[in-house]
Amino acid sequence: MKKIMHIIVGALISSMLFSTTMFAQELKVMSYNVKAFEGQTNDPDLMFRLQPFADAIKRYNPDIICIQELETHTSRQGARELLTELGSLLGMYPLFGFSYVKDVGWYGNGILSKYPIMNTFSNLLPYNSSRSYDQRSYVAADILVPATGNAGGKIVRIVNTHLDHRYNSPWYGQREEHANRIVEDALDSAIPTILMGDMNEDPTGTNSKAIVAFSAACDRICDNSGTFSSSKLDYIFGFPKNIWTVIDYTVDRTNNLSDHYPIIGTVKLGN
Amino acid sequence: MKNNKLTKHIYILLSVLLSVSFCISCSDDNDKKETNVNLIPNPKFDAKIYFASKLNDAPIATNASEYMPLGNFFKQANRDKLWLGIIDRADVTYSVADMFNGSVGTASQADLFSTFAFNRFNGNTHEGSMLLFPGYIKNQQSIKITDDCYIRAIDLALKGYNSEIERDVNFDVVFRTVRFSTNDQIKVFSESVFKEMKAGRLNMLMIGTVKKDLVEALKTGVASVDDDFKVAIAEGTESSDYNLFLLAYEYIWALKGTTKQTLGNIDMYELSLMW
Repeated sequence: MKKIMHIIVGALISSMLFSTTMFAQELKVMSYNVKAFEGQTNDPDLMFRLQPFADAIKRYNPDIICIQELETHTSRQGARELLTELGSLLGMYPLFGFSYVKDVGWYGNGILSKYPIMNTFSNLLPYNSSRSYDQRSYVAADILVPATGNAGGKIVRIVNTHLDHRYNSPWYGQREEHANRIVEDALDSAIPTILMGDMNEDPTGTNSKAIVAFSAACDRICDNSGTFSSSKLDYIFGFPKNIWTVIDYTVDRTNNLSDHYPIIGTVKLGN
Repeated sequence: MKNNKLTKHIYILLSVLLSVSFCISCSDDNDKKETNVNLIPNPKFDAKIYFASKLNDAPIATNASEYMPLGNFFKQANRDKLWLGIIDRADVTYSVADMFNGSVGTASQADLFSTFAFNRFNGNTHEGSMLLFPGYIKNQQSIKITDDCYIRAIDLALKGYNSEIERDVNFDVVFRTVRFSTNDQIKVFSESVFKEMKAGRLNMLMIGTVKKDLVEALKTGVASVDDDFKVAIAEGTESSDYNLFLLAYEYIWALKGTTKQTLGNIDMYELSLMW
């Protein structure tokens, strides 16, 4: 009897979790490798100017942004906290995910959110000195999104990462290892999740093992159009499978502030 | 003899503080038996927390110019080795077209990292407090009391000072903050959340605000669970609509004193902690 009750309660909770009446709101998400806000000209007077990035982002008005190649507090940046500065320009809550110490500051990934960030964790991914170029990491944030029919809101998890950029053996093996680690550690089947980032893999390549690993666990919320010139490197995934509906997806090729284009998807839970 | 006793206290305190993350829950009887009654907060230790608040039921500021004095204050405090600042009721107004998030602007002005300790949605407003600190944080948690009340817990590096040996003292703590505005919130906190939270008692450090007429309910609620934990009201805040409080294991943490300065039309409380 107890087991039957557990099954019924579990089913009720699951249906409530993924019910569209509890999350009728659309969520617009963006992933953007900003190349440390250096700009594209190497002109020192134009480097680390955030207003152009803020203006470009505002054109899409995303609710949540995942940033990669985030450098902050370094001496060449004037020791400024750049993610918070960008957050201030956009009115968004910032979260920095550490990868390694750089100069007198730090390097890693970031999340900006229009909705309150409730729980966070970040972890370094396995580093092998013979195979790793940089120390890689992921950062995760549980964000409380207002939801129709639920005064307290609903938690959506955002996971952001930036995988190794090299293509030959054994580098793609490390990307696969890192993708599996993220799936195991950061994705929880009870929490609707959007996973974003610069995965540094073309989806059609024979060595695209990280994308294979992510695609086994998640649904793609993006197409294969190029995000780094004509190469497809940046992705948005939804987890668990079959709960996210893609409303639209685009790559902003008018934005040349970085060597990556920002990618933007609009999703909602349920059909 | 006196130096040996002193050395023993320091050794016990440091050992206990270094091992707080590995504390496991014990029964109340075992806790009382293990308490070292000679362990009390020592005024030679000092750590400052800056708490900006109007101690009422309104947002602390509603435009960028009202936030400016806070930005100037925290920018200087960051140079003076700030480890934690809190802006009470740093409410955020959400709209599809535009967001006003004044306290993130303050953090940016001061080159500080920040996190928003959310309390509740109120129409298009997020009510809560902004915590400011000089380095990134790895982990933080929001512990739900009710739909309109959350405890925020963050791992931080406390920066303190030992005036006896004239040396900086730094160690990791789990800092918690909350805002209590109804009796129901205090009831839920006392009867369930606090019981679990106090298991990590040596590292239990909570500073927040409580509505003035709920202070006794909070004190009674905490004492009914474990009277080794005390709610202390910061001096000078007792007569305000909301009181500033410290909730902690009385043998480890205490308020040494509170001073206040006014920045624009906002009060900045400097809380001195001892341990």
